[in-house]
Formats: sequence, structure tokens, C-alpha cells
Amino acid sequence: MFNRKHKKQRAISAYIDGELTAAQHAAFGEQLVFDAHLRSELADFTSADAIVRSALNPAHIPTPPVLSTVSDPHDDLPNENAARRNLAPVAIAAAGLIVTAGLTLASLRRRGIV
Amino acid sequence: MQRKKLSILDDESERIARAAQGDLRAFDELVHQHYSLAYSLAYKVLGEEDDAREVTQDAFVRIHRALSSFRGDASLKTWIMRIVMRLSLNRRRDRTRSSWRRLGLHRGEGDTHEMAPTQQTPESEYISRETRTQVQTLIDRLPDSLRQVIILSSFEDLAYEEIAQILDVPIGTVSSRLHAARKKLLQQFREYDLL
Repeated sequence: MFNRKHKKQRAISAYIDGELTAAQHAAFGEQLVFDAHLRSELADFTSADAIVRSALNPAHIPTPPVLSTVSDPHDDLPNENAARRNLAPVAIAAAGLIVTAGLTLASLRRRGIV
Repeated sequence: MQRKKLSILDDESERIARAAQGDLRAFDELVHQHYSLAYSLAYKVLGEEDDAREVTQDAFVRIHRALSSFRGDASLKTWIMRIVMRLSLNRRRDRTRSSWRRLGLHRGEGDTHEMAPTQQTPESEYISRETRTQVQTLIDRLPDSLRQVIILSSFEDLAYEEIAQILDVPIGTVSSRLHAARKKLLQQFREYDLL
């Protein structure tokens, strides 16, 4: 007797949650037609569920943070390659100056000035 | 329908792979996809907006770190919910140690302040604030195992199988706990004239 009642009540839960198989669902539907007490129990369980949902649901859902627009902390660190890129023109200019100075010195020596 | 679901899963696997390789935009997309669910779960366990927001953020930080180890045995949604559930329960446990809470003075604090943007959930308007607090208190009083299952079942799109995965228990246990929780709540709702 207890088992049958318990089984029936568990079927109500499964019915509400859509967890019955097609055959079980059809059988439960048939029972509902003929059993007023079962219908009333189902209505109570459904109402209780609606109350639980309403009580638990948050009133607002905050907007999630957008991570991809947050700057990478590593951006502040000097980039080694960038530093190398910036040094290249200086190195070229320095080499040019050395060559020019060398040529000027050689030319002065040739003329006997130095 | 099935094809659409498969395509969503394909997109998600691709996003997971990209996010695991450090693509922040892909991770953003995953956060946007699952944030509402994660926040709702944290809120349902904790009952407070600030705590829920912190736990959700913490959860996504952990998810980001652990994404490369995500094996895909369960769906990403289930995995995220398992992490959020665990962190929320930890936070709840820490909170119950506070004497403020032991005296029951926390209920209603922060209720009056409006939160920054956003989506309003219509179901929350279904019952009065007083009834809401009463129902939350009754749910709070349920044993942990029943409370967890009733909270997860309040997400309409979660099947028993997914609840079982989140809680790491057999499906039969979900079914019996859920029924026990409903029966207990129904009885109390009748006692307090909430039905």
C-alpha cells in the first residue's frame, strides 16, 4: 500500500520534470483522467514548484565582465623586440658616423694635414 | 533540431580549444554563454547578490585556469555548474560560521539596494517579498542533500542526468531526493498557508 503510494508520488515528480518515458507518460496521463486525488496532488506539486522557482530566482542577472577589452598587464612592460627595433636606426647612424669620420681622417692624412 | 544542437556543441568545442590556448575573446564568449546560469546557481545557493557575483567571478577565474584540463567527459555547462556549486557551498559554509548569521540577522540585508544593469527575471515577481523570504527560509532548513537537488531542479532545462553529474550521485538518488524534498516542502507550504 505504502509502496504503491510512494511510487505514484515519485511518478508525479518525474512527470513534472519530464523524466517519464513515452509509455510511462501515457500511462500516467490515463491515471490522471480517472484519479481526481492524483490530479489534485499533481496540482499541489506543480504550485509548490512554481513557488520554489519564484523564491529562488534572482531578481536581476548582472552583466558579465568583458575580459578581452581589459588591457593585458604585460602591455606595460617594455617589449624586447620593440626595443631592438628602436635601436636599429641609432646603430646604423652610429656606424655611418664612424665610417664618415674614418674617411675624413684618411683624407686629412693623405693631404698631410694630420 | 539535432543538427542545430550538434553545431552549437561544435562551436563550443572550438571556443573551448581557443580559450584554452589563451584566446580571451573566445573565453569571453564562453562566459557570456554560461554567466546567467552560473550566477543564478550561485544566487540560489547563497541568496545574496554580492556573494553570488563574487563566487561566479571566482568560478570563471578557476574555469579559465583549468580549461586546458577540461576533458569533455561531461558538458561544459555541467562542469561549470559543478564548480559554481562547490564554491557556493564553501562560501555558504564559511558564512554560517559568522555570528551575525547564527543570529539570523542577515536576511533582508542588501534587499533594498538596486543592482547595476540588467536582465530582470519575471518569475521573481510571481510572489511577494514576504513569501519569498519565508520560502527561502524553508528551503534553507532542508538538509543539504535535499536543498542542493531542489535548487538544481529549479533550472527547468536541467535533466536528472545532468543534476546527477553535477552532484556526482546516481540518477536514482536524484529522483528520490527530489521527491523527498518536494514532499517536505509541500507539507511545510501547507502548514504556513503558502499554498
